[in-house]
Amino acid sequence: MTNPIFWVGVLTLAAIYASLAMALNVESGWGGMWDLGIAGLLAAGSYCYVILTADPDLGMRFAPGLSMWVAWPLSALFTGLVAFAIGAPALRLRREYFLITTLAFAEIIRQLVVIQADLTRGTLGVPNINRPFDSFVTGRDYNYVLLGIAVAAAAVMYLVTRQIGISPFGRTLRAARDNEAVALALGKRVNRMRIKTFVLAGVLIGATAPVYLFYIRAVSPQLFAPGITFTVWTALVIGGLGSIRGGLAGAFVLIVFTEAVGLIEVDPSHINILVAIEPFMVGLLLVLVLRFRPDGLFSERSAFGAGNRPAGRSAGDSRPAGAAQGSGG
Amino acid sequence: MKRVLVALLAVGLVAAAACSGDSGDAAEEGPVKYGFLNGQSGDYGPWGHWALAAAEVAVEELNAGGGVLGRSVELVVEDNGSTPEGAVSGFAELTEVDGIHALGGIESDGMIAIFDTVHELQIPTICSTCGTTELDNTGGDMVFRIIPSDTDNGIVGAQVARDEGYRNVAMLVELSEGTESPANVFKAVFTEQMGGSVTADVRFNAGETTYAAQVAQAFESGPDAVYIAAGFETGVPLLNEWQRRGYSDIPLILTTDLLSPEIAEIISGVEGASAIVGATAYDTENNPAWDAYVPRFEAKIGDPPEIAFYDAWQYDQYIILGLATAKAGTTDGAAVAAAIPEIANPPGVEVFSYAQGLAELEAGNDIDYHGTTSNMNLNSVGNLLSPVMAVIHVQDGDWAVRENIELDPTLVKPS
Repeated sequence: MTNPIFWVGVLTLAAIYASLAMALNVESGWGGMWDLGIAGLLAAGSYCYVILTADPDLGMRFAPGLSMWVAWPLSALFTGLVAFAIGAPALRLRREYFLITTLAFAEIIRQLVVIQADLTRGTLGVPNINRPFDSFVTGRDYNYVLLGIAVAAAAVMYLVTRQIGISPFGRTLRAARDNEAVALALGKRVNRMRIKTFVLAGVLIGATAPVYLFYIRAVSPQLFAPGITFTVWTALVIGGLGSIRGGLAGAFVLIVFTEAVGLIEVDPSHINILVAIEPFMVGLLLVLVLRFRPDGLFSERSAFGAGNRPAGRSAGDSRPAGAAQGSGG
Repeated sequence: MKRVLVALLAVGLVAAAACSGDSGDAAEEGPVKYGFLNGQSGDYGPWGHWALAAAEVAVEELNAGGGVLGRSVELVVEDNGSTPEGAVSGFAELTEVDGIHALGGIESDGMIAIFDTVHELQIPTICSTCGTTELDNTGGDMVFRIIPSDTDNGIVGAQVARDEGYRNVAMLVELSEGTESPANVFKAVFTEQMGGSVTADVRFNAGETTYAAQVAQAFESGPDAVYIAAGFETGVPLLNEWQRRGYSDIPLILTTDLLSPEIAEIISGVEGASAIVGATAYDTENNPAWDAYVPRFEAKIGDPPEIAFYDAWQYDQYIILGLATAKAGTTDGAAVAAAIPEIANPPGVEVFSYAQGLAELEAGNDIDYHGTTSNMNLNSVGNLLSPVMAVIHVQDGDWAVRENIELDPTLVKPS
């Protein structure tokens, strides 16, 4: 039987990706901003955390040696600032233009990390990331601590994003996504709202970054290749773009499934076949989910109750009719 | 919402309950398991096939020699996708699911990611492809490196440039850890310790559509030679550009990753072109270990070993692990790790194979394993102590050792 420690690690990684997917859902699922720059924002948060907490002996130009508890929120705020710097120009664009721009910004951030070697140690990266409570719990047992941190972070992310989703701000966001003209006609400041959302998603991704580093235990620019963005997107699509719990469910399904496929035993000389099968199986999972549940495991409709009640039926529900139909726009 | 929170709580409880499960400690019965954690896909994918074949040749040799501690040896392979994240999850699978006793095959960035965990779990690890300077001053108790560091490669590159009489060198460097590390050392040693001049230092990303501008910038800067540090996948389009633009009168100094057959073919197809490599440890002349390895590797894969694919080092690491386990008389991680320098360093009878080493150990003699590419003498931090380096050039359309040299002791690692 598989050692439980292995699955503890898998669930930890799943919880981290769940946090990222839920953050992505705020801007992309509800805000309609299809962001391919997740890896860049994660890199910004990660490097901010690493620089602020780095051992001065590593020779980095700026290493104030802050406590991780101080550096953690600062990383979230810094990532929000980076998101603002990206969003201010990029949000003038729509659809595929916005998508390509965010992908480019992510790569720019990665290259900045490489080039600013005296600040970030460039391609060499930073090893030995400090982790909370590791002086109290060591060795294999620390995996349980890390799982607790990742699950707690995912739970907080769920509560925060759920609150955003059901708030008037969230409803307006979805309304603007579905029909921007109507939202503007109703006096909503759509552009400002989108920038706020993009920055908010940045803060949430930045808050997740240290947890990701606790898992990896080292940071280097290679960590933030576009693959991480596509994994987060795949998790969100499987779980259900626009639903409250889609990112959460999708990440757990995707990561657990991927690792389970990796457990298939093959003769070493056939490892290349298994290596080829893994992405194929993930792709197959995605196709099957989209074939039988086109809205993902949890649909936006089920998340916000539309379809169960007549549109515009309840007092105090300011959501425009059809906003929750997930029609896109 | 409550249901989701309950589900999350359940995950935590299940995990906590699992605390009482198997500790994951490797067993002292059944096969001896050596992990092979390597990029079979992703950036290191092109090397993966060669690396795995060499590891299999080594494990076949261990089993042909009666196994280790009288037990068969099993190679447990895990793809890390060439990413630190893949290294972390792959290492977890190898240790917690497969119960490996020792590890090999890992690359620099993955090694850095699992470095602390390797020590916590006491898994002896040999890094056969880690050039990273990060390991220059750390390791030696659980982590060992049997390939010269990027520092050594950078220094020997500068040494070769000096010995060839080059005073002005342009640099073309791919932006990655494995290429920038030796290039930065080369530049520092060449300019600060030899008084040489770098006429252009051009850095570029892998996967660019064209390298025309970068090649022109370097070759038009008036250099005596051009130092190129790049992965071989980038090297092919880069050198195609060099070929098209007719810069064959300017010699090339290449890093080890560029010693692929494709690049040898490009260079040999250009009349008057010369390329040398201030290369890595490749002491293959009159070396019984090398002579025995080559035909078995060729039989396995259908091609001869290639320097750029680092296959020989992948082989050596498992012979070392087998001998160290035999010396320790146990698969206990700390004991095996302690035995690695003992079987790799003098004093002792010099041995060139597992069977030879095992026979000497069983006779109660100390041994000093000499690998396929170099002596394997390790210093206190688990790095090669004094590898014999090779200057390699293109001869008859393929790479060949021109001469073996030793690192100039007057050249020091830049601060």
